[in-house]
Amino acid sequence: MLVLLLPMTLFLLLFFLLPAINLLGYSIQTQNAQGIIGAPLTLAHFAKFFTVDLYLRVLWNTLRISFWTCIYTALLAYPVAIAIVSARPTLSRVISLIVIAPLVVSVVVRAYGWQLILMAGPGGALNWLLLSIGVISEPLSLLYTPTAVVIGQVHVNLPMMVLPLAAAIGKIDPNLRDAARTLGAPWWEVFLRVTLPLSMPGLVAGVIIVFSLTAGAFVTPVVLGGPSALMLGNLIEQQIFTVFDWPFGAVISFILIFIVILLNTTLIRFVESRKFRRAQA
Amino acid sequence: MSTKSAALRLEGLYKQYGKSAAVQDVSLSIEPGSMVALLGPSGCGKTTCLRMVAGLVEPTAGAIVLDGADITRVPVHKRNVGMLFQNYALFPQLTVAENVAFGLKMRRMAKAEIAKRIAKALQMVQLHSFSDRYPSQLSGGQQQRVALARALVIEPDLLLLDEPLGALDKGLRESMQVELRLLQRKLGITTIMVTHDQDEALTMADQVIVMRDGRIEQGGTPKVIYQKPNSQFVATFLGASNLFHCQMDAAGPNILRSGPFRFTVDGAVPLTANPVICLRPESISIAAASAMNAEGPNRASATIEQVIYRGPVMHYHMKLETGQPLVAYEQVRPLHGSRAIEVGDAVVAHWEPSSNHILPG
Repeated sequence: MLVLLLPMTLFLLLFFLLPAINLLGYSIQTQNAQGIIGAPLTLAHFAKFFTVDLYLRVLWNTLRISFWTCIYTALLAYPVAIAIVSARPTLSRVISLIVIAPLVVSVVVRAYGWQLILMAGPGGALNWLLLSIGVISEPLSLLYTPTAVVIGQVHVNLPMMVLPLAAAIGKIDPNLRDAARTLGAPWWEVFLRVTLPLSMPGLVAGVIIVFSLTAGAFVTPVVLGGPSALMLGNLIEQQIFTVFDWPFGAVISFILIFIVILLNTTLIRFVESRKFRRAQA
Repeated sequence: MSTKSAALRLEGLYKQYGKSAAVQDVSLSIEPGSMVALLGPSGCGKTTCLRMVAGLVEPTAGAIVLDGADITRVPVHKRNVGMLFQNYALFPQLTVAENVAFGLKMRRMAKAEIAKRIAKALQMVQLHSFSDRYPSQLSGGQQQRVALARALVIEPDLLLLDEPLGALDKGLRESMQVELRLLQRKLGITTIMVTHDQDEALTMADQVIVMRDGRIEQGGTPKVIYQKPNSQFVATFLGASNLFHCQMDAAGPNILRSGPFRFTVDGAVPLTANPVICLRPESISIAAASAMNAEGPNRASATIEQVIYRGPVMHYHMKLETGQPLVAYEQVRPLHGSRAIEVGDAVVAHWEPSSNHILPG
């Protein structure tokens, strides 16, 4: 059994773990005027991150955008996942295909697509639509805001939420929903008291994937967010490729990785907690 | 727990799925407080009927009338029915007490009242010491009792049982049948049960409704259904039957003939095209060929092919002179000593004219 895991383990060790440790090692080293990184060890880069307003704002932006992306993705994904589970097999396959279809188009292309839709002024497709049907009288300025990034990220991440949710909901015995209904539960109580709690493993899996991908997003904030919706990924790119401050880039990477791992372990621990597991059995 | 006994009437229920009809023209009147079993093979529409009464399936046509009120279009959650499922359908994330509380919470009942009713309901099914356990920590029988408490605690107008004991093993199933029936009688709650198990239907129900291909084949008390089936389907679905395809005999208006065998019936034979005689195995007696003449009506000479000891009953599988099989059951009476009927013996099977039940061909 372990032999089967050997190639992947070697690959990850060589091309992921070692470089990652190397990079994180930079975060506590000093870069001299010649650009050589080495002794003495220091925590000054970390101190810089937590004392400069701009960096904290970017951190806050990243958390906020990732959080709302998870919320909206889950809200959109639940009805779709329920439809996939309850539809006839053919229809269910068609829905799944439509959900997965956007994955064949590159994230970059999709981000530019959203740029056309969200563009400010009457030239943007969304503004044109809303203005012409009279929902708004002044064009909205959505592009280059955190909202635009959330919209782009929700689109990119929807399949990653729908698929684990559908798998989890599919495992719920349909009789449980019928039992709840005969006991007097209207559809929304059935959702809140049966479907939602019992699909928690799927929701947690979806949130872990969507939050991780969004927190580390790079393309969408560049194309749709602009300077006002800068995220940690953009900050890292600036430090490494523009400022050439590798130790500080490493600090930001460290913080990003730390947040993602912290969230993932907390959520996984919740799903595997004894009470929760017994309830699922 | 107090429940009022409601009268239920199904009027010409139809359920169409695409081009095929799952239920066709089912009409049924159920007395307040009685228990009705819908019996039939899988796919006969019995479960669809039950789910239409529950409100989980919407009828294509027809009406469901509860105590004179048409509830056909009333949504499930406003129907006030208690339902038991074959796999219990307990909420796995809730404790026993929380499961029982579910329906009461939906009715926005006060906390103190809920606690009181949970205690009473769990007392009723003898599970009061299990209230903090999770369903996965209970045995199948205990889970079904919790499901029963959960269904009855809301004081439903109707109790609907969907193969409620199908997942239990035989011994437990039989004791639960008796227990469920006693409780149902005590509460006087109008109950519909779906089952494919004829013993369960006969044991538990006041009325048995035999269904086939979406239609009611026959309805009546267990005794009527068993003793006076009106079709070959009912005769063979409930218990074993020996069937003989007959013609009228020239010798008299109350005599039927099937090959060399003659059957006499009390009164005149009803005019059916190809009458079939249905003979229950327990109404056939066996005598040694040396002790009885095989001539005459309601008699047949046969050879014993197999003798099966079933505890209280002996089963004799015989072959008639025409090659047809014949099955007879005989009560085992230990005090009378055992009869020495063995495989290969030549015997005479005989029965009373009143045992000849005529079915349409």
